Amino acid sequence: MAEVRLENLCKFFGEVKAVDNIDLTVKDGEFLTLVGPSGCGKSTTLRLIAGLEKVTKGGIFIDERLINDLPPHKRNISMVFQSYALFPHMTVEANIGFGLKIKKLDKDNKKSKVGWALNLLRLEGLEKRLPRELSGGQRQRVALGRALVLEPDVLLLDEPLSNLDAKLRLRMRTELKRLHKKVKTTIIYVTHDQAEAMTLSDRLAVMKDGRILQAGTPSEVYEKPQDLFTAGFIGSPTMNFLSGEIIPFVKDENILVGIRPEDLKFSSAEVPDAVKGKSSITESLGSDNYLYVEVSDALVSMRLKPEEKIEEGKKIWLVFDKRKLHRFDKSTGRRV
Amino acid sequence: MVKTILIAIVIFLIIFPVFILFKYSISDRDSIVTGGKYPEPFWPFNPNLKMFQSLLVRNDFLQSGMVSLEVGFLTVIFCLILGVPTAYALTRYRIPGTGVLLFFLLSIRLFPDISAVIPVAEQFFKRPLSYLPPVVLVSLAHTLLALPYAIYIAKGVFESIPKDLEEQSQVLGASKAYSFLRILTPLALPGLGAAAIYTFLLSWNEFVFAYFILFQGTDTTLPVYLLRILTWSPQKNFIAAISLLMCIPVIIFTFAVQRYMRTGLTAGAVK
Repeated sequence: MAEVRLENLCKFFGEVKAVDNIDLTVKDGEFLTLVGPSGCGKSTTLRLIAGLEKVTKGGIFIDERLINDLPPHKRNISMVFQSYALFPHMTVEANIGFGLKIKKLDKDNKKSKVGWALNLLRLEGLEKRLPRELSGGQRQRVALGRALVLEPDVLLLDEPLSNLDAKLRLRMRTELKRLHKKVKTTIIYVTHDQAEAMTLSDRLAVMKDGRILQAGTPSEVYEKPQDLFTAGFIGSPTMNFLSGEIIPFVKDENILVGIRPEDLKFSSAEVPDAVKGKSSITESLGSDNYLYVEVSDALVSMRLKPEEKIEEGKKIWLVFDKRKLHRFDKSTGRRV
Repeated sequence: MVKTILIAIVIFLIIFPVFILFKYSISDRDSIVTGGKYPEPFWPFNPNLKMFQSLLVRNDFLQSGMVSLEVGFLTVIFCLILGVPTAYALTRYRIPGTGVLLFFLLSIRLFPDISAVIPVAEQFFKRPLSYLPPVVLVSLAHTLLALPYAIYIAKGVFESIPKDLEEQSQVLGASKAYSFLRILTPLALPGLGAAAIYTFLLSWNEFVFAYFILFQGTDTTLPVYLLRILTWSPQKNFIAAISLLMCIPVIIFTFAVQRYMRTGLTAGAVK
């Protein structure tokens, strides 16, 4: 277990700044998620920590030890690839024991560790199978076991759930959380799925264009997004953005107002500080219903209480929860 | 029905030449020296193994066979030693001019062998290459011919093995050498086996280069030996027996290597 610190970390591919001046500290035992759209540099950051890419500028420290120039196999880290990268000619047992074999562990010790991993990941009985004889979820667990059994200082996970179907993905998400509670390894997790980031992490870092826009606990980032991108990226359905001038108590055309669907209410009669709109379609997700409201030329989504019903095409007034309002500067996109 | 007939025709076309070869090789020599007095029977005439017996005690034949085997194996070794790392580097590292390089590798095959052989033989007869034993010289010549194919085949093999696997093994603590030996090699073997078979066949079969390099010496490969035999107009059944014997090592080698040629070896690696 260890603390990872990135200091002014840069990785350029020719002219492309894949990772652009990142400063980040991952505390000992923390589950940190790098989240962002594809091409934002999150996977490259992970590969830099793993030693699979050469650092252009800056430093990577594990427990205050600079590891920039160490080859991957000397860093005492483990990584699970998006593709799992199981060795196809080796059994589950051999796959999990691969790293231990290199460490030249004696037989009994190795066997007990592999057994521990098999048990932890509920893979007992599959020891002699080859990767091609496993289901997607099982492969994913073998890949995790192979990484965990080495007791790495840091465990790197590169979109480990993205190849699973929706149902399995949810189950493995819970599984991962349980696992982290149990082994308490420092984990750096990469995903483009904000829901994964929100549910799994102790802290998350939102990335875009090679930079970290905001890092904080999931609730910090959700409740106080520091810029327009983060505000729009985290949360589902996404935050609504309205120009300040149409909102009676803001009246500022340089401000963009953000409000989450659950922080809106509607009223059929005019009330002070409300914004007029017309009800449009209703979407039902079973537990939650969402109403879309046409406000000037924008479509605003709001969450309805289960008992609330409204017809299409009705004139309504949107009531804002003023404490949950987010104001952003239109020109810079920063929170004000 | 049509399919069955077509299959029968194809099988006939494949089997018939071999049958003729086989028939002559085991026919009694009397059937051939009748001088056309009797029509040649379709089936082997008085079948016996005399031709094979007489061939297998001929020192010059056995020696040529040994030379051919030596040349074949040396060519395979040269091609794999040179070709496999080249192909690996070409697939895994971005090297400027890879396309041009691949084209030049093939360039020797752009000329007919009979044109390419003169400059090659010219170099081989000069020092320092002329100090090498003829068997090595022929192997080198065959390497020139087979190497581009070996590289192309090996390149295809490495492209089919996901890079993730090597990176993964390094992250798990393997050095580059270890991951090459334990991950890459076992997965590449089937494809490299194909390259080896192709290389061996090419060398076993090759005549022009071998002839130019060997024609003055005593060592000959089997194709060159066959030509020497032909110059004293031997009987058909003698040549047929030689030809048939020439097939045997090829068949053995192919079967030996085929064990490694399993498909779908990388299944289950990714996703």
